[in-house]
Amino acid sequence: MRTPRLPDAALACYPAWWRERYGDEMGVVVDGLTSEGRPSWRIASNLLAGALRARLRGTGASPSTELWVDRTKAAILVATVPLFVVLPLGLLFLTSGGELGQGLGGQPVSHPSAAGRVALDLANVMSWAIAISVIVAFSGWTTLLRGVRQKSSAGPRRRWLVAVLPGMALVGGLVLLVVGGMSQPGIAGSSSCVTGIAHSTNPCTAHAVGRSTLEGTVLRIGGGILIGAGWLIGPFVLAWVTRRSKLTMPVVLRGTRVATALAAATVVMAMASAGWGIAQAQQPAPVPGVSYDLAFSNIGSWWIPLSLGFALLATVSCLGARVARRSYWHAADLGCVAAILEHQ
Amino acid sequence: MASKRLGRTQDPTLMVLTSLTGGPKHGYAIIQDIEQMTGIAFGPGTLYGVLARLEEEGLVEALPADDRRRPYRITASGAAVLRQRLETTAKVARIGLRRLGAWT
Repeated sequence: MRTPRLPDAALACYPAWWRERYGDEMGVVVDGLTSEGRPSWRIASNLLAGALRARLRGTGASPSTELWVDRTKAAILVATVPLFVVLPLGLLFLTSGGELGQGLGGQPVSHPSAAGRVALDLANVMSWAIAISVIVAFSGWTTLLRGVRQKSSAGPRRRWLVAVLPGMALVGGLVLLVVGGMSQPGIAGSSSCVTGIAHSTNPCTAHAVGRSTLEGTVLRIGGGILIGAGWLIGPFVLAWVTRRSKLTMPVVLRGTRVATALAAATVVMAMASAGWGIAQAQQPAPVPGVSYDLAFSNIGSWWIPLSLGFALLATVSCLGARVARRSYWHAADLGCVAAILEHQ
Repeated sequence: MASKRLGRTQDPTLMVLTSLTGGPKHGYAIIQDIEQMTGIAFGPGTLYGVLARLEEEGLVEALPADDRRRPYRITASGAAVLRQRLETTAKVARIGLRRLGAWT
């Protein structure tokens, strides 16, 4: 038995239709190049790049409507599943750092600098992007529900799962958002707080006491359970149901639109997060000698990995949305041709 | 010394089609032929990406497989496209070399 090698693993990354068509001959070429002494990591990296191109472009895929609809559905999932990571990150950003523009330096800042105002605006942009993506995701979810109901092939278990789990995730997210909003002094209307100022005069201290109320804890735990159940299992359920159900072309088209809108919202969030981090760092400390304290923020310099995470997810989402659109139109073209040929 | 940057601008499509003008070849033979012609070592991912595209466009065709190896052959339209591309490239090369001669 041959030991699995790096190039073999890379070959396995090609789509199934590609492996069926070219897999064997590519294996022979890989064997030849390996026996020549070419480094296997180099062959593997070349194969990985090729596999990515094959998945993105679909070159060599057979002209079958079903195959291209399947590709579209897979691409829609690639574009939408990052939302399950993006939304918690966005909420973390908002509940931990969204009011930094107001909390600049901790002193009551009635007139933040231009950079501070930009940071505030970008935090608002982030809130809007999150709100829009939740609405779009909700619309996509209802479309999928409708699509699953339309086809008799989808059993009641599938329908139930797709109806309940993502809903639980959304409700959990909203509960946590509300709890975060209630415990956030900036959102509650206070202007700011500062370290280095006596606690008796610091407005943050009073709000901090109010954070650990019993109802807040209960809501947090409840929201956490809902998120745990819905948010972690939801993507798998959505993926399973979407891949297994035979969806109609209008439903798939709606899915590609939802995927495109979500990809755009993710890009906006990535840009807002990065811009916010840069802008808040430019805000001068209002009190000499007092460090520029991100008073309401638990993010600190974490905005850099946070923004990089957003950027990575946005890239994945955009690639998925692009492939979904192209594959959908290819599938639609093939469907038209098939219909014309059948009619003749 | 040849510039690596210029090496990257070589068109793999052109190289594969040129290689196939010498007769039908399977993947490994195409890679070896291109390496002999240009000194550029193709990876299997690059080669089959190009072959799939050319096959889809009808510029090359696959012949019946011999064991696990499948030879490819250039089609008439592939030969026409290659001729047109090579003539353009040759024209650019001639003009470039003439101007370089005047410049040095």
